[in-house]
Amino acid sequence: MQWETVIGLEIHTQLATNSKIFSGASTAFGAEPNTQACAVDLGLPGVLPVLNQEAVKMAVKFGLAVNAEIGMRSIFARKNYFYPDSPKGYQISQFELPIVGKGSIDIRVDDGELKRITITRAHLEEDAGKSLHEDFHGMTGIDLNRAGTPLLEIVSEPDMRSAKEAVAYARKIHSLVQYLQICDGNMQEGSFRVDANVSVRLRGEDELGTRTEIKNVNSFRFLERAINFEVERQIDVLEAGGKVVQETRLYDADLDETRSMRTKEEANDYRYFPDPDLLPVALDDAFIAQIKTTLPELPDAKRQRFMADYGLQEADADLLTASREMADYFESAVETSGGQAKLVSNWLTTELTGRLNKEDKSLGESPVAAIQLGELVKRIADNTISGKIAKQVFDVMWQSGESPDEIIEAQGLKQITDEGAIEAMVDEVIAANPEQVEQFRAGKAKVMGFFVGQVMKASKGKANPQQINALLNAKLKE
Amino acid sequence: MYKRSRGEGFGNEVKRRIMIGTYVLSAGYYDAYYLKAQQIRHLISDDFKKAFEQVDLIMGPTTPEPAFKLGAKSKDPVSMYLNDIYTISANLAGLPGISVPCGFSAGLPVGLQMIAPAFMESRLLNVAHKYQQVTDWHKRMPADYE
Repeated sequence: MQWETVIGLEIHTQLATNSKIFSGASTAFGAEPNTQACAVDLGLPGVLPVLNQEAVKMAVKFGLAVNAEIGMRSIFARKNYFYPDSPKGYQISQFELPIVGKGSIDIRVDDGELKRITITRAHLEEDAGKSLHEDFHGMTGIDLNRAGTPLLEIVSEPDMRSAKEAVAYARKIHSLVQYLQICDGNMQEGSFRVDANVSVRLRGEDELGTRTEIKNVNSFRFLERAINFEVERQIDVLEAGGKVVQETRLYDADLDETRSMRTKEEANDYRYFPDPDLLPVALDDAFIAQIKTTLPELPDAKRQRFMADYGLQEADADLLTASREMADYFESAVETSGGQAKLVSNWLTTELTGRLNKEDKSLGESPVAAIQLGELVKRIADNTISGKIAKQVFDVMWQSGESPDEIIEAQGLKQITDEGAIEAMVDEVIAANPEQVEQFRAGKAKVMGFFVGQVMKASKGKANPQQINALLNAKLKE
Repeated sequence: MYKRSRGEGFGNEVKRRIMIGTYVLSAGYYDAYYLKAQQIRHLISDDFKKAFEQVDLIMGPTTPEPAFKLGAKSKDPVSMYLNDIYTISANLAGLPGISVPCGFSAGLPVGLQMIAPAFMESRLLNVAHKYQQVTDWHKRMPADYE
């Protein structure tokens, strides 16, 4: 049977505000438990929430970036549920009138085509605290530092048809919120959390199948695996004549499987109602217009510009604009290099990225700064060093953090372009290898490589390869 | 532990109200109860606004009858709720209200309720204060009060 996968995502992004959404407590990650939770976050009697304007601005910024309708009047509602890490007994969220309405974003699918994913809505809400089950010997510890951290929950339509598409969409949103500087995107710290609604149906069917919701996915790799596992599981159930149960499932990365967490019968009835402590949020056109002026160049526009201005291939432009950090690094390096966009692109996407991956570092942790990479490329372009020597220099840069010019100078790596010096080396090599000279003259052109190698060796890799070639050719054919 | 900490310490009346509140917000009942009630609240609020176009303050008894014995109406919650009836309207309409002693009925104290327009707490307190300057009900005790 031909099954079709249908996926919609709910993405929780922690907004990068300094203070919480309804209180003045800090949102910094990693503080001592319960040191960043004030009376409002603790839900003590008599406290009143006050909305953080910065969070509203960030939500609007996102809305504008996905061409969404902005909710000029949005309302905060109480979502009631009882859980120890939610001290008030309800979460302040948005229900009927969210701050961001319908929008869309384009993703690139397998065949390279663009596919438009509709964003149903995005709403502001507060994060819950954390329950800590380890180190408490059968008891549970509660850390309320996270309680009240602003979240923007971004809900998509069930527009994705494979785990790959879901990952492409999630990555796109991940990149976008970082471009907009509204979220640090740190998945390990929980700043960017993805829940996937997954169902399957027979191809051609209009009705959606019963879905399950997968939670607890903290990397894109796991997202893809979790969805694939879940799709297989649902197909197995259906093909065995069973029915998919609507439920929430947890992904266990260690076992690479999803497990039932709670079924719909146990599901909460959240009893939403407008929060009487908070006025409706009314925005005006001037506010929106002001935020519009703060929008940076967005990934898709940047990608187009990279292709047009720097003559990059699509694949490279994709890589270089995948994150704002990468794009900024690239442009800074190109500027230093004197406009060597293609060379910088090669070095950045192969040498530097390879090295970062190998050492499991992010671009931000790179020991080689953008300006240094630009200087290195500049020295390749102006023939101070060859590409091969540049790799040596790069190694040293990586270790020591020194500038390329210092390294080239200190280690005497400057390329030899003095015609006389190279000629002397060529003559020496020819004189030392009469046998090979005979072979070459007898028509064995391959021996040329041997000669080039010998001269290179004699120059310790520093002689200009084009010059060696020209001189050898001239001399051997004499 | 969760269950105990959620049940302990609440009296029957509080539990009753929590249950009613939970019920009217439950899936499927929101529109029929909560939303409807909000609409009615709006009408009540509008009514008060209209009344305040003609008067500065609304006065009346605080309760329909003097105090009843402790526990006398526990079996009949609705008649107990009725004792709130005059004061609830200020809450529903979002208006400031105050109750001051204004005499005795069969030896039990009676309250005078005043309700002012929204944000007119100053007027309300001023009138209550003036009333107490010319009366001494607030200084008197019920006859058999020890």
